[in-house]
Amino acid sequence: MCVFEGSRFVKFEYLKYMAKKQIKLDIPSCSLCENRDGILCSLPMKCKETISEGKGGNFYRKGQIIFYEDNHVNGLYCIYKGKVKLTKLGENGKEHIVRFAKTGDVLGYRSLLGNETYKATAMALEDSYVCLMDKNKFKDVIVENPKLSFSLMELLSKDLKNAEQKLINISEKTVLVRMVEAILLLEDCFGVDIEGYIDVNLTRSEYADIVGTTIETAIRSLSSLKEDGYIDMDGKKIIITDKKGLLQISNAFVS
Amino acid sequence: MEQTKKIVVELLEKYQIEPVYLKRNSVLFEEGKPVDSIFYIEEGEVFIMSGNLILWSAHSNEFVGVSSFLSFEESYRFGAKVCTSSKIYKIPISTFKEELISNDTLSKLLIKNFCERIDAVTVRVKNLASKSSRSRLILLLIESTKLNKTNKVSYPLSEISSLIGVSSRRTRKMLKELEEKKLISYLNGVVEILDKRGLEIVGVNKF
Repeated sequence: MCVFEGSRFVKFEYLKYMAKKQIKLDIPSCSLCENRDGILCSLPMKCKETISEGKGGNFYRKGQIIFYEDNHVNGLYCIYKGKVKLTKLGENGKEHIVRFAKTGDVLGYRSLLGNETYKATAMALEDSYVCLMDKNKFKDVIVENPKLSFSLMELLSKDLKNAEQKLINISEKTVLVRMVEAILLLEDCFGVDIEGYIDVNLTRSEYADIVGTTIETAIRSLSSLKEDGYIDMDGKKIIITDKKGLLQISNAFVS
Repeated sequence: MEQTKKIVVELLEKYQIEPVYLKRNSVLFEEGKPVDSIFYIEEGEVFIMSGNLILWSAHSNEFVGVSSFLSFEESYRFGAKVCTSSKIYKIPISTFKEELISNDTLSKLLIKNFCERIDAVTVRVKNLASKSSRSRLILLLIESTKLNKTNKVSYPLSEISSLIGVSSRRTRKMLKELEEKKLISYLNGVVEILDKRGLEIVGVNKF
């Protein structure tokens, strides 16, 4: 990249760089944050102020890593704005998507509470703003606030339920049924945009990683669902056209 | 861990909750039955099951039945069956709830249990998605002998099949193949590891 002041010659890379320049966003303190759904949002004001002391905020571009699997825990992350996926590395470098997180969700709490290292890699699915809170301050707040401890247990219990369900799915259900459940889960997690498409753009490889199959099988499953009229696709975007039908496929296995 | 165990057992004695000694295959609770108790395993191993599928196993110093209670469910989401002879305490829900709110040690232990459990289940899902059935079998054989500190695997064929997510027939075939390579012995339904290092190498290499 090279710019000569006063010169008419400006390299194309500089124009691209300016176009991609990060938009500065002032991430507010937890007590002023407009998110209301996270577990930290229901804390008393005093606890929110404690957690906010020394809080940092970072911008992550789509595809950037927030933390890596097996790295030592350096704090608790909270998504101020954006979408994140958590993955574990399998054999031959194949990724397995553990879960998704959206605005207001907290990341790394399990590692902070139970272990010394992160158990998954977190990657931004779109341009995201993520807060980083000091781990010691968070632990102090848990000690002072038994209600938070109970809320964390409820959250962990929900995580365990999801993990157990995933294990049952992958052990007993066909790829098509798992793909249907993955699509319903994504709609439930991220909602839909103005046009009705699921409000997240994932690659076919990521769909394969969620379901636990190869890319080819994932593509075949999605095409099959499209041909049967359950979904429609526009590039990476998916819209559910027959939700009742998808629910029937998902529940048919159970009954 | 021993210290935490001691604190929990003292707590149970305070409420005069006596331990129960259960043999292998005893049922702790059935899927769909009303949630009335939480179980603490002082010694032994318990399987949590959905139908015939083993989801995870709980070991010494762990609680079982807590997630249904914390999710405010009226009935147990899954069943629990004793895997090896165990010493277990049955804690009424009301007593448990009272202690959970006030006892910091208990909540820390529960949180730790949950985190370990979620990790174990997530790793199993990852292995099912990315490892071959042969690799999963070898991994299970090695892990289970580490836990019970012998060369013999304590699970029968049906449980091994359930844990690795394949049919019993396929599991038996894979065990026979490993036996032919003199890596294990499989006699009268009992698997014994003969060459652990060789098994680890085979588990990593594709063949």
